[in-house]
Amino acid sequence: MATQINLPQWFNADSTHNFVQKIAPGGAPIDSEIGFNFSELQFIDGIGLTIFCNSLEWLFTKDVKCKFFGFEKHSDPILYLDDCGFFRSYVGAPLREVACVRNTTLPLRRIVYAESHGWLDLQATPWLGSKLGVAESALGTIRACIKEIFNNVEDHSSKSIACVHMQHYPQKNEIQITISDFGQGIPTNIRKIDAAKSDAELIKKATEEGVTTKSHPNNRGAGLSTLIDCVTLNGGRVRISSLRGSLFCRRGQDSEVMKTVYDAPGSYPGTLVNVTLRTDLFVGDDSEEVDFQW
Amino acid sequence: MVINIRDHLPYCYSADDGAVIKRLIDNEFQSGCVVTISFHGVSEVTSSFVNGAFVALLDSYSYDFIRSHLNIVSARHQVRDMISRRFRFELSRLSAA
Repeated sequence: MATQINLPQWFNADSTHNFVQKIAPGGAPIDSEIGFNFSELQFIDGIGLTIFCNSLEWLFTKDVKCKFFGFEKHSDPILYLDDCGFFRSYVGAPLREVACVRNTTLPLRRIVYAESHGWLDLQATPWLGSKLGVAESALGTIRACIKEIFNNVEDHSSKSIACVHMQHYPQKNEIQITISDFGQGIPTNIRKIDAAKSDAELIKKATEEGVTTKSHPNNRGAGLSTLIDCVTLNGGRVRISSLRGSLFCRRGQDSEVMKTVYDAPGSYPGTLVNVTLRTDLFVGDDSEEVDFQW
Repeated sequence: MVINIRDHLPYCYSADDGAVIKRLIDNEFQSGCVVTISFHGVSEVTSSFVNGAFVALLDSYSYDFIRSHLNIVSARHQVRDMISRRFRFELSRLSAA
């Protein structure tokens, strides 16, 4: 008989570790068959969706059979999931004929590294430009940040596939970009060079410029630090969750990057990076081309 | 010798992309030639690319040689900033070693 897991009432970034603690309490799937009950779900956002889908993909790699029920009542979160294509992808068909991608979301996709630049050029960049109200040529820095995350997935995850989701929250003046893989996780890699720390402290260490496990000969430990510096400089925030730790980054009053660690009860299978951009503080790139001065 | 990035790469994305450019630079540096790299039309570069294309040159050449033999032109702010940032860090690490 399958183990039943109730989706949390409030499924967002804060639900990450409690949710994975339920599906994989010791790091391995709780059962070979899991039934996910949607009946208690009252809210889910793009991060929650990414966490859920990434977890499902991870369970599939462990040959776990997943079933879904309790979504007969078309509440707001169920409609959101339907419009995001969740039921089409995982149940076989949308719940409603009228289910369609919302203007505020760029639907969750599983993207292999080799396809990431195409997705970025043809889908993510036009969408970001329209939400930020700038020409696509002004998005170089944001594009580079997204590419840094994909490079991190490619270099450090044994699976070169990531789940990616973007959502615009006009009332909060925010865009959230969530990218997650189900590789071995940042702490597993960094523990090779520093075994003494908790998972959260290892994530923090991984974001220090110059810290690298040399998984690629030319790696010099700059990707995550660059991402955090660029995003927070523009009033944004970065959250990184991996295995039993999370790291939160933002700029403090003194303009220095503040990093807060959190040790979690459950082990998130892989790595999740969530970037929050402030649409009201966004300054597009200058496209002027000049000579570099040493 | 002028090397236009867009003639050799569709994207400046990975360290392997950077290695393509580094090989071209190496060929010229071996002869002591000055190389000009043009980033015309390139909207952004990653740290991995810059590491592979330029920072890796520090493994074989001194910084003084690199900056006297390598010109980087037609670069947007993000490109210039990334190159500057990466060299600044790597040079400070080398001097601390």
